[in-house]
Amino acid sequence: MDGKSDDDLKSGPHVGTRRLIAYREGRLPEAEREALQEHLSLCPRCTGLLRELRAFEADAAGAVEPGPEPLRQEAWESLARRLPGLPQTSPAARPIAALPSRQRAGSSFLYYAAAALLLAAIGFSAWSAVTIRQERRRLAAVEQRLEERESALAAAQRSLAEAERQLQAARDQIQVITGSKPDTRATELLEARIAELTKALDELRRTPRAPGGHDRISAGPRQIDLSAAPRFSLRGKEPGDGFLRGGGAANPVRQADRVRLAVDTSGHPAFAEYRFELVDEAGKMLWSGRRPGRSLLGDAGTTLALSGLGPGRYRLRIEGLSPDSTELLGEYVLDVT
Amino acid sequence: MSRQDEPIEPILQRLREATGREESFRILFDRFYWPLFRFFEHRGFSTEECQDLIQETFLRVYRGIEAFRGESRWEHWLFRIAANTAIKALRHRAAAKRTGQEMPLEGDGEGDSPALAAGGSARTPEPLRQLLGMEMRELLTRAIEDLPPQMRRCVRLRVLQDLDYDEIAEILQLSPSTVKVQLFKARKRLQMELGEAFADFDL
Repeated sequence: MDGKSDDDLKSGPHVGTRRLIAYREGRLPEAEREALQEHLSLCPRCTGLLRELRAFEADAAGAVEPGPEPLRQEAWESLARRLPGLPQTSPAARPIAALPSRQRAGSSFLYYAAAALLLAAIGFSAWSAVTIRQERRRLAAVEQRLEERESALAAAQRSLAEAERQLQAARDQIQVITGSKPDTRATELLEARIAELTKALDELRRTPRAPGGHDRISAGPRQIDLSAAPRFSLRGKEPGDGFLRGGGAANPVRQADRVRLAVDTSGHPAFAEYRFELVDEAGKMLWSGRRPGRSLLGDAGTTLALSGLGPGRYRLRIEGLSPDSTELLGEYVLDVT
Repeated sequence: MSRQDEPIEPILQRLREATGREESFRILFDRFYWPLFRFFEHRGFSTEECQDLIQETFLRVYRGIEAFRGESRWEHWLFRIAANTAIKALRHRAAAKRTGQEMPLEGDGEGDSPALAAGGSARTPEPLRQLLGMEMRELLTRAIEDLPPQMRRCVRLRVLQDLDYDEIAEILQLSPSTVKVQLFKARKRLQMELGEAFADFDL
């Protein structure tokens, strides 16, 4: 709905923003008011604009739910730079999102110190009262983000343990295969898999940073590859335009009573974290879990091992989480035979 | 965020004067940042685009504050600037033929989770079209045209735009009970005029 507006922007057959505001404020003569109501009754676009106006009024009166403070701070700083008449905010007020996560733990003290210096320099003007409030809010935001990062780090460590278990399973498998009958193709596949997992583990060990360093989702092709072990069939549901691609090669690792799903997110914009939810046909949540977006298998994606699934139809939802939004990436129907 | 009940006019006054300009502009920015963010976000702009559009809006406020004479409410004036900024951005985007704009998620119904079904912000319009055959629709449309003006508008908003009583009341600046009465009367009239086919027609 791009409700057109007035001034230099022609509104065509639609009500301009200026007239709509005059209507809302009761400033239109009766005849014009009637005509406008008649148009509104026929035009969802203009009623949409009116609803946006009402929502904005309510938000401006305090109904709005604020988002993360660093966003507002960042916007203010860019804006202040574009206004020559305004003083720039001090370096202490740089958006925290730009700092590497591990430095943040130690930087709270620096923030306090920088804020104190800043205040001393400015003196107790009215401006400083505003600044103190902002600093407090920002410090609270820093602390909250720190907590989030710590829990994300814990999640990454759990994923590391899961990857190690998978690696061990693959090694066991290769022993079984080479021990019974030589099957070069299967051995090659498994060796490749082991090399891949080992590399990913090394990478994870080298960079124990928490996910979530990406506050922006970059544009790019949107797709997720998802494959399952042979005794399961998958149907992909595409909620949007090319969001994901279902199917793919069967996972060579196979264990009784376990569904293994390999999720390939390499073609997808990086999310800090992915959330998976498995529900049964009746809609009952059976399992939900989170995986870090970038650490486990490099950028390649993640693997889910779900045990204890009897035959039946299940639904798997995949969501991408970033600090300021959640995006539904796909929903799959999983038939266990 | 600064106090929401602090009167705006003194802040605007300080913004027009040389003294206290920075502080009052910052107060305005802090207070209206999130309402503007939600507005742009609702129009489908990305977080990054919202950031740019908010800045653009405030630049225009800063430069044009002299033009605000109080003939409309301040937040309406700000809304108008924001709406213009959004349209210009869309035109610019269309001109640049940039692709990859995010579309709202919309399921096809069967097996959708509530989140999927609720993904689109637009309502499913015109339940009428789904319910009635072409001929019936023609008859009903003509009968609606013949209703008295206020009743006709209530019916159209209900049937064509699928709005509830409160929303209709807000849009037509009536009380919800008036809307209810209008729709009740309209149903009686339409049933009388159109007969059996509309015996259980629901408004």
